[in-house]
Amino acid sequence: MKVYLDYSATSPVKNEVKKALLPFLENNFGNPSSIHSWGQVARTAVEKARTQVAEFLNSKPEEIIFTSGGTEADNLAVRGISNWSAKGKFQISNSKPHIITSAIEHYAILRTCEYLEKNNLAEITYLKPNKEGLITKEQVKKAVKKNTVLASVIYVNNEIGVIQPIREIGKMIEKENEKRENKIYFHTDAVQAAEYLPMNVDFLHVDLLTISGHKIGAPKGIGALYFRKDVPLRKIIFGGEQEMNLRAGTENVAGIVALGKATEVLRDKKYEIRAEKTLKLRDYFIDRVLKEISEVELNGSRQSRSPNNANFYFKYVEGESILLSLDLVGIAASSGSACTSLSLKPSHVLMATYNNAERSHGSIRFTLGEKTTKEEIDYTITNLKTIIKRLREISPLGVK
Amino acid sequence: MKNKAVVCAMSGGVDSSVAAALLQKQGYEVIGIFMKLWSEETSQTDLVRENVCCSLEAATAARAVAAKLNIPFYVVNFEEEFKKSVVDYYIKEHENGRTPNPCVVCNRDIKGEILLKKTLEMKADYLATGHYARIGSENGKIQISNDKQKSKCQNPNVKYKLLTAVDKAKDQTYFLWMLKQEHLKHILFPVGDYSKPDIRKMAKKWGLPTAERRESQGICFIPNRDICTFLRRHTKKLTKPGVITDVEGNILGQHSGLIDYTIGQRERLGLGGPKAYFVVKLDSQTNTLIVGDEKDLMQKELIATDLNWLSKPYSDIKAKIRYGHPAENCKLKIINNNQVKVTFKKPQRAVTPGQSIVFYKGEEVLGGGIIN
Repeated sequence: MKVYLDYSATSPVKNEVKKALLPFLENNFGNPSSIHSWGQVARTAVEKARTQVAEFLNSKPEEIIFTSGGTEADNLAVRGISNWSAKGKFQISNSKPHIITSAIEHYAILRTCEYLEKNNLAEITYLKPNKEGLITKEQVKKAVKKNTVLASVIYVNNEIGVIQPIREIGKMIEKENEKRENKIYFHTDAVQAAEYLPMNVDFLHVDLLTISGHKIGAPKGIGALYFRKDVPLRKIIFGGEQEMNLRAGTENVAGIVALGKATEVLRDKKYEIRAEKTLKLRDYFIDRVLKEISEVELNGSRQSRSPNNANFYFKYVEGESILLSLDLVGIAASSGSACTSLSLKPSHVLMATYNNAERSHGSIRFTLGEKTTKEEIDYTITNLKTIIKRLREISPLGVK
Repeated sequence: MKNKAVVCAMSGGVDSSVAAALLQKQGYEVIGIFMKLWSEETSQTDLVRENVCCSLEAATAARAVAAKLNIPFYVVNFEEEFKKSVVDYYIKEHENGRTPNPCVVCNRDIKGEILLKKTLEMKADYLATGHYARIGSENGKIQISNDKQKSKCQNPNVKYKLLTAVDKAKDQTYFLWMLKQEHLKHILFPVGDYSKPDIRKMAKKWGLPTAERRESQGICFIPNRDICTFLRRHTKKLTKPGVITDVEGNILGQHSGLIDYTIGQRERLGLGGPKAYFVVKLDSQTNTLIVGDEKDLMQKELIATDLNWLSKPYSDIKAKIRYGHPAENCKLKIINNNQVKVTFKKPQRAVTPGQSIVFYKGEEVLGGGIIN
């Protein structure tokens, strides 16, 4: 049996999405910037997709920029705003723009902020989560400074699945802005949230929002940044004048069409209904694991948690060994640490939340998807029990 | 019965590639593992130097072999453990004016311990590496891996013997003396039964993508085999210049810091003149480099410590004091559990503190120690 429980890493392309994008790999291969009919067909498709994404987010088409994925959209949000502010009043007043973010962001935000900090281009505050993995609006409020230009908080954490109070933070920032001279813009990386949570930007009170195609049934290599009309975004990729002169490069037409379609598919059902089945299965999974395996804890808040995420800390075993053993019986999961990418670091998310290296190394993330079945969960639990038991029996050889 | 499973440590080199292929042909279920052991950020360039042996390129090569064989393949990261066990040990020995052999420690602490543990955790029965060596059992019969598979599961109390490879020129038992019975029980050396040319031939015949890959040389974590630069990047000890004297104590010149030298070294002494000088001693107490003639390098006796025995020590045996040196006749006098006095029949050139001495009886490795 093969069981895929790594939907937060990536998801398969949905059938209707595939159907929508294929013509743009075949006959409709035109460049949207061309004047001729091929170009016009492509342009129409790109703008239709922009409308689809805009409708999904309850925004306007001109507030959507297509990017190569979530990472680029995050980069554009953070660097796009800091580029603007660095040229503005902060340069004159001799201070740097200030950005508030959390210690549990995706690397796309974290590394970008670190880059700005290291190169003296911005001042960054990294908020630490509480033991549930949550960032509170009070924390954000306390971090606000005179030179704050941007706050960026991840909507659903990609590792522990914790849902951050984006709406509360957004509302708080709006209130703050009323009494401020310079506005604080609020960005959220919503890559892991799009499938199961409300994505209405007005409801969320966000100014910028990132989504990624391959987490919601479109292919890899496409994403988008929503930015409210008044956000002074500056480009970070130079070249042609595509995407309202904010993102150079010939449009990934097939990808854009796919992202448009994927958001339309999501919009067909209310998010609560989309989440219903997955949420039930996830709760079944978490309940059984916590009950049937000893010395195990759930990482991150149980209440404020993405419907598809279960992240466990199995004491006395290494996450990597669990992962490899699971793979050998056909089950795909992932660990907090990015071992496979050849770097060894305990998960920064688990470290920031629990400050426990052992916990960071002994944790496994399971993420469910549309196609996950109860049989698959049962098969996983059965194997997980055997594997954890076996690994706990093997102690270091210690023959030195 | 389900086939026995083997984790094969694959480095992207031809030997471990063929090892994996051989095991598969022998009927094992093979799982490839690539170990990421080292990378170093140097302050000057801000550039990450990857270990030449476990770079992304090497991982890609190993992965290609695994894909060709259609076996599972994983990359594991042991950088932390490798630094602690191997690199720190290496630097510390040099700081004491000794010339260590990091590979012997790596084979015990990384492959023998951590990787073997991972192997057993993955429910595999054996760990295989591409070393040129063989493992036999007590009755002296040299076994190929297939037979070993049987004998190993039938008799858990069997004693194992570490034996030199069929290809004497490639034999790597010198680096394996720190292993213990508990390790040997779970280890396979599939290429030890073949010559290097045979291994290359097999790699070509089976279309393994690493058939033509060049061989790694030197110490894997030291770029360009430039030990001095590496050490100076990691320590300040023994880097102060001092004097060079002859064995009588006459000052002959200046050295650049004892850390740059090793026993027997002839080049880069900067003494000029027609006479050939060799480093015979690093005196870290007085920061003096002592040089002499080739005859000053020769000695018959040495003390070895940190002993490990795979078989009982015999009195009349052969010993190797350096990789690539032949094994020479010697006698042992056990001083205590951890010390032995070795007396060679003929004087040995450049006995170097920190290097391994490995004891052989015929093709069997009896054990070894560290030269004091």
